[in-house]
Amino acid sequence: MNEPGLKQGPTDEQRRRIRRNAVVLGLLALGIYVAFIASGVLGLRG
Amino acid sequence: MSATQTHGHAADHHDDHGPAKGITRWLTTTNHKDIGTMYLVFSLVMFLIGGAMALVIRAELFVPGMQLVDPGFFNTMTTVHALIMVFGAVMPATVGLANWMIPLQIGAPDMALPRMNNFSFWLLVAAFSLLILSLFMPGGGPASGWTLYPPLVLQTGDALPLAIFAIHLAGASSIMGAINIIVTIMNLRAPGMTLLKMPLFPWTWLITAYLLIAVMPVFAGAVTMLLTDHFFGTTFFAAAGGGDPVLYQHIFWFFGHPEVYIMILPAFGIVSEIIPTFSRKPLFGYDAMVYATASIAFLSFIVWAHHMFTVGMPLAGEMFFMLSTMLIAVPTGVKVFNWTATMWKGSLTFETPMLFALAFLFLFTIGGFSGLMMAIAPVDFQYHDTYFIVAHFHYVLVPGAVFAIMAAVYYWMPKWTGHMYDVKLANIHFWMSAIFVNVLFFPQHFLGLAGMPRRIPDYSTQFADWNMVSSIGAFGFGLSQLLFVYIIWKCAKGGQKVSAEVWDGARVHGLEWTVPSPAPYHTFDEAPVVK
Repeated sequence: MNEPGLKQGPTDEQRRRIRRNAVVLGLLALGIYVAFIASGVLGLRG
Repeated sequence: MSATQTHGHAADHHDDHGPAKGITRWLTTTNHKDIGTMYLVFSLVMFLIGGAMALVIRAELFVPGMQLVDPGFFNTMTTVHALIMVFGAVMPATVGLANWMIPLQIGAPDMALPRMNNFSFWLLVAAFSLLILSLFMPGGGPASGWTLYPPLVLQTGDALPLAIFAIHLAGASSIMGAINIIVTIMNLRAPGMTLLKMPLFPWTWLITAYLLIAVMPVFAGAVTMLLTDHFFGTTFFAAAGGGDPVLYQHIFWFFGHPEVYIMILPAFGIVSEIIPTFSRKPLFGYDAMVYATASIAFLSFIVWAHHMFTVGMPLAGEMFFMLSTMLIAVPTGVKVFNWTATMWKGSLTFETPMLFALAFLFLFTIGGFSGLMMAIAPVDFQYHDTYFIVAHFHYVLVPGAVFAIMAAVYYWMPKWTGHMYDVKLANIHFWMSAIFVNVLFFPQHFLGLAGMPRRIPDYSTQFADWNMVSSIGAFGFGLSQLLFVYIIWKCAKGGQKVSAEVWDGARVHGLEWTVPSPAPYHTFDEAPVVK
């Protein structure tokens, strides 16, 4: 899409959705990472 | 998919906008085809490096006694061979295929996040450079097996933080790749390409990408905790400080079992593309195939403890994990049945991709059946940590995932290069691979059932004969893959020109067969319409 020569990339609405979807999925991955470490910490304290 | 029609395909309009020249093209490209090619080449290099490590293992095991390497280095080889093959060869190969084919199959002009696509690839190169460099650290490379179980892994020398950093980078790369695939499929499908019209390869990758996002952070969390146990005095996995080493096994396998499906689901997608093409029939039970893939992905989250029956768990736990594991045979059986039913009364031809797909069908099923045997908890106590396990997962991953990847390369390579591969050599490659893979791995079932433990550099003389046979198979299989490299090189350089459709009647099976061969640098800058 950033390559020269393409007549049209995604529409603005598509771009917004792509960005939103990517951020949500990235946060999901980060949340799972933090949650598993946090569960380990809580397990140690318990 | 029903009949497809493209209009306004503007590939020819862009002949003056080719790729950049020289090394800059590969360093800075955001083109999905370039990035797909880079992933595939990287995967091939890793396949050869990981394969060389396997040959060190098999050379040492050729006869009883210590011959070539010291036991520490042998353990490093088993560990790094597995890490390279899983994270450096099989996964990047399927990501490379996804990069090349998903935009072509769904009618998108490129991946949705092209810069991130480039970044994910180069992150992977950095990750595996570090992992391979860790072999040269004082104390040697990681040697605790790819599962990195504590407390053993904590005895690793200076290589430990390097290996863990490499795993984090590879994980970040995988997660970014997965995000890219999901947002591409969800947002950039051509008009009319509803989810249930999408070919099976993008479908299996969509589900795989969700699996990746769910479980890669779990593995990253586990290895982060290993790191803090080693360097910062925490005791997550140390019983002396109130931790539990078995906790690591639970976390690892919560990642590790879905990881198996991350490698095999795209293979299912590939085979679901190839069998209909060479049977000249639509895929039997398309909807059932999609639901079966989703079911397998769901079940993969609730079976992890079948890898650790022997650590001791309540009877109810053993029953649960035994039965949930057996349940996976149902959707997998649906798939095998549907592939077979697709061929039923089809007009079959046996081009190289079809040969590999058929070998996949037979040999993956053998791996599936031995998996079913190991799901039986009381029986698993006998098999656990023996060569039977090694035989099982290699049947799933080599004639399973790797054969499907080879099938995909032969199937789509004419589309990538515009040339037909050398058919005679490709068929020789197939038969050598299919014969030697069985010579290599089938005897390992006998060794395991006779009680030979895995991950040992020396063994009792009672295991000598089958080990020698297995090693001969390994060298034959390794040699066959040099032929594969030559075939790819030869096809990339030239050969018989192919049409857009490449395979007789392929046009009805997907949009990729409607674009010229080789696929132009830019495709679908005007969206095709799918009916």
